[in-house]
Amino acid sequence: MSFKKYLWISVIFHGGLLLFVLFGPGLSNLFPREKKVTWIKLSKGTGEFNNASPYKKTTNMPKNTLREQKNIKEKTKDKTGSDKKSAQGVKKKPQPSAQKKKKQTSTPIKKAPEDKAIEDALARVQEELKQRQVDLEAAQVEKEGGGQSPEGSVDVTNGETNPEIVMYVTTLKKKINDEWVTLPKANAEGTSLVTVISFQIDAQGAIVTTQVETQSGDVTFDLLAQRAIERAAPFPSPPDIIREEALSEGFSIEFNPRSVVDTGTQ
Amino acid sequence: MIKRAGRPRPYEKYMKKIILFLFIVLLPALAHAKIYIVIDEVSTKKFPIAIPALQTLDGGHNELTENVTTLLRKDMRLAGIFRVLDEASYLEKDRGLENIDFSKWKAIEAYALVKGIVEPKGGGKALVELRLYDTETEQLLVGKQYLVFSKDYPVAVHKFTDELMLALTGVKGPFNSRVVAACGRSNARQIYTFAMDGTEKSILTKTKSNNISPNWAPDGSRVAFTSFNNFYPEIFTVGVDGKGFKPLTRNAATNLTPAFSPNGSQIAFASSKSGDTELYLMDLSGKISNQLTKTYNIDVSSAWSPDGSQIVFASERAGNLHLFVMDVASGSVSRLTYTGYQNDQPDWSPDGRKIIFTARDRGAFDLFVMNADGSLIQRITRDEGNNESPTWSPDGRYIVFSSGRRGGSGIYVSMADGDNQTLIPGTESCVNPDWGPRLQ
Repeated sequence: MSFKKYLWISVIFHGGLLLFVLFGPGLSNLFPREKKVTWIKLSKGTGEFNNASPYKKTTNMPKNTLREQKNIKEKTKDKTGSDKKSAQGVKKKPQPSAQKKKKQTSTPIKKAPEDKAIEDALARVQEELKQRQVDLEAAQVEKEGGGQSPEGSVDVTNGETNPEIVMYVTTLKKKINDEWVTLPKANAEGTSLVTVISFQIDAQGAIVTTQVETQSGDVTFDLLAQRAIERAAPFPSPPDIIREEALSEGFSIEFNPRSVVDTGTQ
Repeated sequence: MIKRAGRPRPYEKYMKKIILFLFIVLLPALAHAKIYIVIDEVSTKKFPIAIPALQTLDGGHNELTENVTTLLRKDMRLAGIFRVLDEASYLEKDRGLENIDFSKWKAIEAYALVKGIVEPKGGGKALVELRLYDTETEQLLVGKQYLVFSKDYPVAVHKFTDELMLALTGVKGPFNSRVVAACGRSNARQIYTFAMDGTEKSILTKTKSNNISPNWAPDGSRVAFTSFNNFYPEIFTVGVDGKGFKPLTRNAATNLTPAFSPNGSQIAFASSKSGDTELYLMDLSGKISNQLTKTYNIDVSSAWSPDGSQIVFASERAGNLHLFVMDVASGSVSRLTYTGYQNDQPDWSPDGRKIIFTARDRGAFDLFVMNADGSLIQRITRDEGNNESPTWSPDGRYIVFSSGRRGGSGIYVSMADGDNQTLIPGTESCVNPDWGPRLQ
């Protein structure tokens, strides 16, 4: 009788131990398994989500110079002013994402409040991305008479739709990008330096740890990417919904520089 | 087993705790999600580089060490992708090539460091030793020694800058090359060559007449241009040493815009010898091998594709001047531009993907760039006077062009997208630049 009782306790204890080893924190690396990864791929900052070409087509010669198009607006210091502006933008034309658009055409259902929130957030993100001082302009965007498809499409894959997370991630991305000085080599044609740095942040937005997840093969490139993240910290406090993950799992940043403005054929 | 009633069994008490414990331990595992962010925007920040003053072997300074230091810093700025850190911020000064304290360079956030010595040698020569270090990894990236005549110190600086750019950008720089242009009084211009920073200037022609629109032979040994030396505008050629000045055409008509083919065996040019301005091909002795165009309108300003299979040119066959492209072998022509007014002076990028040209827009000539198939016309200059005769650097990252603007007229060098426009010193009276090949 008493032997049976202790046998049960033993079974439960060992079962628990096994589960702990398999799924518990820290030890999971010993047993590789599929991780759920939330991909957030934001547009290159060249314009609309739902526009195949980032270039505004002009009938005459384009008015804006490439140099002007390259300049990103510094964030307005007058916070209320800029907020007002983006709020107006949201109200005026909440631009649905490509995904959203598809949904609407296939099943014309009434918008749920969550959808509205997502739309608003995406519109706000777009507003942030539209920070160029001038439009990306070009004449003869397509080869005249050729009917060739425009180049330089903007990726619309966007796995994450929670507006809070999208907004937060946009902020992270911008802060890191602002601090990022990379090797001029990384932008050169034919080179593909890609590094993935992961980092965890606490509830206050301070960095806990950073690791180089994928090395580019160029030590300096990796170091400069890591430095960009460290210099961008502290970040704003992560929203409640991802506060746990921000600390336990964190974020992976892929630094994958490509030329944006100069090459229309890439 | 007989079930007993009464007092709860001890393990039942623990059971709840164990389950709760397991739940807490496993909770983070269930909520597993890493957020992945891709940053693919190009970092537009300039790369910070420190260039402490060069010294002689024994740690001294003289006019030559100062000249080399100044030009090195100037060329780094001209390259448009570096930020030369202010000398006042340097924590380590006046130390030789060895024993570098990298922490002092990392502290001021210099990502790269250039060190060097300039030591006078006999016979008016000097030994210039230059090194490039990565301050993060403390590695020597480039180390070069150049023995040059003291007056030719820019050559050492140009060669080193090109190597530095190869190490940091993956592509060799274009500093060790020459730009040719027509300089001087507007009706008596002479042909000059100079480096992109204005140094190493030399004169190729000394005629009493006007000389315009020079074009480099692909090996950099000769230049072809239009000269009024024989009264009529004829195509002439001259060696880079100023020797071998000779006419290629003798037709007493108007002969303009010569362009060497990429293999150097032929020259395309525009001539009015038939009464109408058409494009022709001739060999280097001046013998015409092919008439390229036969229309009743003006065809001028030819430029070759880098593979030599096509020629882009300006033509009035569609009304205003527009750009057209011709397949040299078959002679078939297709139109590239439909927008713009007076599109002229095209130049094909060294990688073959882009064509830069001049167009008259908003009352002035400005520079535009498009894909070689005629798509995606983008603007490079605006509100800066007239900008003409654009030409690519041999690495395709820079352009030079002539500009008549309030800030100073002359030949300007800039990044290919128009960034970092800088007047080349000593070119105030120059027009019609053409950027030559890299020198050895």
